[in-house]
Amino acid sequence: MTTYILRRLLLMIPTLLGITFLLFMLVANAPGGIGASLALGGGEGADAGQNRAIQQAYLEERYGLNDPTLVQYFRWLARVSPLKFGEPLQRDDVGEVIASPKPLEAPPFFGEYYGEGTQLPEQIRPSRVSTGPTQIEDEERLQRVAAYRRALNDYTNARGAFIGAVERLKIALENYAIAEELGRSDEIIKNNKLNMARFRGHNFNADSELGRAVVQAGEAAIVAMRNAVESRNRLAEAFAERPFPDSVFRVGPVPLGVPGIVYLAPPDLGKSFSKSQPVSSLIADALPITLLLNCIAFPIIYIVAVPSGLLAATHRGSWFDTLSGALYVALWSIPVVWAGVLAVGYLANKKYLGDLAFPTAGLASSGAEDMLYLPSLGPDGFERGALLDQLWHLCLPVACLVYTGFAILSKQTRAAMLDNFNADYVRTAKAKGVAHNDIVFRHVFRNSLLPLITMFASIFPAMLAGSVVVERIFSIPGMGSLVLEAINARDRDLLLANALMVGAVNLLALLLADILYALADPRITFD
Amino acid sequence: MQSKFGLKDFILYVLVFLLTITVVFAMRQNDRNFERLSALEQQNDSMVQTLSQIRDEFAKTGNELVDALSETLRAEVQVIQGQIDRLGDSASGISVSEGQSIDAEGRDISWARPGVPVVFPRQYEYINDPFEAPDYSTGGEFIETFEAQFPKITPYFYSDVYGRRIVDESVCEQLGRYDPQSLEMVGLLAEAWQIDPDGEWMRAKINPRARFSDGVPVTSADVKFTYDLVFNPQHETERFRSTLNVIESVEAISERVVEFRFTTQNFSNVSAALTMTIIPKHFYEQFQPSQLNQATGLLMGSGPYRLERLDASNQWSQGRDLVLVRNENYWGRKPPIQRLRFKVIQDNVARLTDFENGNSHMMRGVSEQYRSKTSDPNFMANNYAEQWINMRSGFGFIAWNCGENNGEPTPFADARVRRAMTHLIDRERVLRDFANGLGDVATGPFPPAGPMNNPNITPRPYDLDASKRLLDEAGWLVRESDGFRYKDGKRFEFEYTISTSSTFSEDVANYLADQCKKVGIVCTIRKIDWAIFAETLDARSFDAITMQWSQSSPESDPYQLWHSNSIANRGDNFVQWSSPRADELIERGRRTLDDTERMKIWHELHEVFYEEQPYTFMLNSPWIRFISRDVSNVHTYPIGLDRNEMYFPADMN
Repeated sequence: MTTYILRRLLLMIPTLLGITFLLFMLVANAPGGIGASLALGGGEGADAGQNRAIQQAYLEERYGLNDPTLVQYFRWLARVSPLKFGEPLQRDDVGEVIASPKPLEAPPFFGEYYGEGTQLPEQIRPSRVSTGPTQIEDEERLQRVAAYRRALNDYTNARGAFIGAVERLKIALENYAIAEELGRSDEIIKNNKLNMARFRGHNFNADSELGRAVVQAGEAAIVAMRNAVESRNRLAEAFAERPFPDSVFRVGPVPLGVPGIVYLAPPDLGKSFSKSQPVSSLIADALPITLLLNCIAFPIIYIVAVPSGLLAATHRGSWFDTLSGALYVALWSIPVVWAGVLAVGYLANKKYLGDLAFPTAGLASSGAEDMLYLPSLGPDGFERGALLDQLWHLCLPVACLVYTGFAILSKQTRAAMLDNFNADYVRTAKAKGVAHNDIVFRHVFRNSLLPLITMFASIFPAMLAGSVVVERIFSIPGMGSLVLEAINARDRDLLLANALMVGAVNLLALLLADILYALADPRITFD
Repeated sequence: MQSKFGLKDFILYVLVFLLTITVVFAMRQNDRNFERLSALEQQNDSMVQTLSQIRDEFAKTGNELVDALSETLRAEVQVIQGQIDRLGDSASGISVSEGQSIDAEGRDISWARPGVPVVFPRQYEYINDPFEAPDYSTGGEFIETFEAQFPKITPYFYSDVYGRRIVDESVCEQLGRYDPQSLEMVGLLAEAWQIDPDGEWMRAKINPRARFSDGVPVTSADVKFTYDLVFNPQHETERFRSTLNVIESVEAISERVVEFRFTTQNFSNVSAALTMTIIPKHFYEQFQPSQLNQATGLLMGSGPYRLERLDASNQWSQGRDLVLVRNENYWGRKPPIQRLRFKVIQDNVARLTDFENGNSHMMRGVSEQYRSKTSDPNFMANNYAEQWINMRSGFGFIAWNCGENNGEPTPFADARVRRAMTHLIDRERVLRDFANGLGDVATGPFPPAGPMNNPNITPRPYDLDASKRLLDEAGWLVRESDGFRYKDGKRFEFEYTISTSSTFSEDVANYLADQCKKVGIVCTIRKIDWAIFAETLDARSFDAITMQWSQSSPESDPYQLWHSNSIANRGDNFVQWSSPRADELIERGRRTLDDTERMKIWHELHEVFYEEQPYTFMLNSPWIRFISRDVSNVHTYPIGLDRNEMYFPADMN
């Protein structure tokens, strides 16, 4: 059994990799690409286009969107994986992960175009292996933090200037290429990027006006790069001083792993770039809401569907059997979108239901934060309190989540019960004179539970994913809404984190189902 | 004996379960009460602080009053002296004397650079003063429903229109603001300013009464801090950098005087500087860049409202209602309404139902809702339904690619063809049939409510004959054999690009294709995802495309959209329209700092657009707002709405 579970757990890793890889490629190859939501508007005046291009380049650099797609994927993987290699990352007081500064990319078309023979300074790697004490004296640490922050400030300024200079150089090259007729304008700029291949084999004409502009912009870019590399090296040194605590899992004071080679660390789910907030905190806000909805909805489904399936099986062919079957299937076939909108339009409208109308949206009334929590009898009569208020708000969304679920579960119960009723052991029990109720509950029902257990395991992941439709109609800020917003905004990190989470829970639930199967039915073993 | 699970056990278990639940709930209740108590305590503390401040100031005023009085007297004497002097000197023609400390009306101008006139603008005030109304009262909670989640309300870190409405209009203030009615720049935090005639710098003097909501005065250090915060590359404030980078530097001259230097000479520099939202240094400087980047609700300013609870460790976050309360320390005239609540309902039906149930005082409507609700007497008895065209309501257009697409010039390179296309479209009909009759036909790109718009221009009429004649003139002749138009053996065909998400543009596209068929043009419709719109525009790879623009200020710089230099250089002249006359007008207009002179130039530019039709300007679409009649003093303005004026009448509370 243990080996089986272990094997299944190990198999989950490639499956998850496959899921995330597929999704990543899907997002990357969708029209507009990953950074579609970053496109900036606004800006006026002569340089607005240029400035916007610079800001865009800056954003792309920050989120690493200017790298090749595969590099981006592996970088994401390295961040998410709890198993990390090399020097540990650090985490500041706010929980932001501090990584060593990325090496800077040289500006395009060095040499032949401008600045012939110039050498760029070398970019160092922060390589000090931290074997020293994990807890530095407070004062010393604060000094290091201050030094790091100063270096970071210098570096971000210098890097900003460098990115601007490179972008200006690219625009100059673009103008030059169009003037020299190296291709049509939409061939020279592809996907918002300069198509370098168009310049291949072209003899640079430094004497034309636009050529001179290229030389000028190029030389400015070299100067900016030299500055940026210098301050980057200083920052790398400050980083190697390890001003912040290492981001490593520890058992007591001992870090898990071999320092400098491999270690275990909390995964970093990244940052949503449409909301510029850490993905983990967004999920932490949304998940409890979805769980609340589903923790109410699923017991209701089971409490209604299982007994009625049982009753339908014991009174097979009766009016109850036919009627409940017909009703559940009818409910099952009503689309949730339609039912939800109708519910809001009629059940939540004071025109039809007066003061009894259900709330239209959200999970609490305006002013619920000033209510008492429990219902109470105040001076103005009965006050409903925040608890009842929330339950009142949950009525319609839960109803919408629930009504489609009865059919499958009750039919499943009924079928399983009927199967067992026809089994030999039931006939034997009847012949022995066991009471009818005992046969139904102690023998048949118990044996029919198996499929219900496994069904729960497959329903559970859906609880986390949330119901996109219901949450959207009732404006509930749960996981469904979050995923929908992420898809609309092409928010890479948020989407991937969601997929990773739902995928992992799905796989775990399947494993759990198999284990429960073995536990409930002694005939099944995995050895 | 067999132990059986009987009824007694069942009841016992249920009782135990209920007891546990009750205990848990009681604990929650206790927690909440405690939270409320600490909030009240916090409020109490701030009250006590304010009181002691007031007491201190009272103590000081005694002496200051005397000083101020004697100061005023001295100033008055100087004015009289000055007037006498001037009377004497009038023959010799001296106008501005160097180093003067007060002007002709006795106002302090010692802070200003000598030799340049100082502007004392009208100060921002209510257009329809609510305080005079007989049923005026203060208090009440105003609830507004938004249609999408707004993730952040931290100034300069928010990214959507809701952030702007909460941050820039209610909680924070700027040096100047557009007057809601006349759209002139009026003073808000600044009581005076001085603009370099060459447009290189600007000085502003901050009103000494201005205070942030915690009672700390607004100073020039705050202005400089704001600028530095936006331009610190560690902050994720890119969206604002691209509009504020006309400002080269900000310098604090003295405690209340600040000087801006501009990178280029341009008329729009001054409004960019004046409309910069000022945030308190003493509050924001305590946070690290990463804290600010992650912050969802760090919001503090000098405006009439403030966050109900500002707690850096427990900030407001998306999904909850946002509640603002009136800033009782507000330095200006306090608005009547006590609390503002912003909530989000994404679904159209749910939003309207919620509004009709009386759970909201204001919402944005769509045109179908407007049409059905204005004919519902019940609804109209309880609510205002307003629709009006203002500075921010955008216009839709069809952009004709006047340059090359795929290496070949499009048929629209010829202005006559573009004019013919405009005559081909019955825009009155589009307005009536597809837009529910709301809005009007646009004549140009400038907001019709603003000063740039030339009111003398009327839309080109729907005229099939004129269209055919123009196409003939341009050399696109009908071939009798198939009825299509040809020029140099090429059939008149074009691709019309629309976004997949809009049914309105789909309707218009089908209509356009039909109209084209009537005159022998083949129009095929291409639908693309909104995400690749920007890419298509940047690559200029389209024949005709439809979109909507909107503006956020009464006057904007046309350079980026219309100057021929913006065809390259990553500009937004994606139609590749180049007109020497327009270029000349734009360049002249940008340099002209005098308002009336410049408006003349813009009006002339508007005529060029009319003549050349680089876009076919379709419709100006209005704002639609449903507002409950529980609120009084609701007026629509060219700038939008002014919530600060509204109040709940006395008998309502």
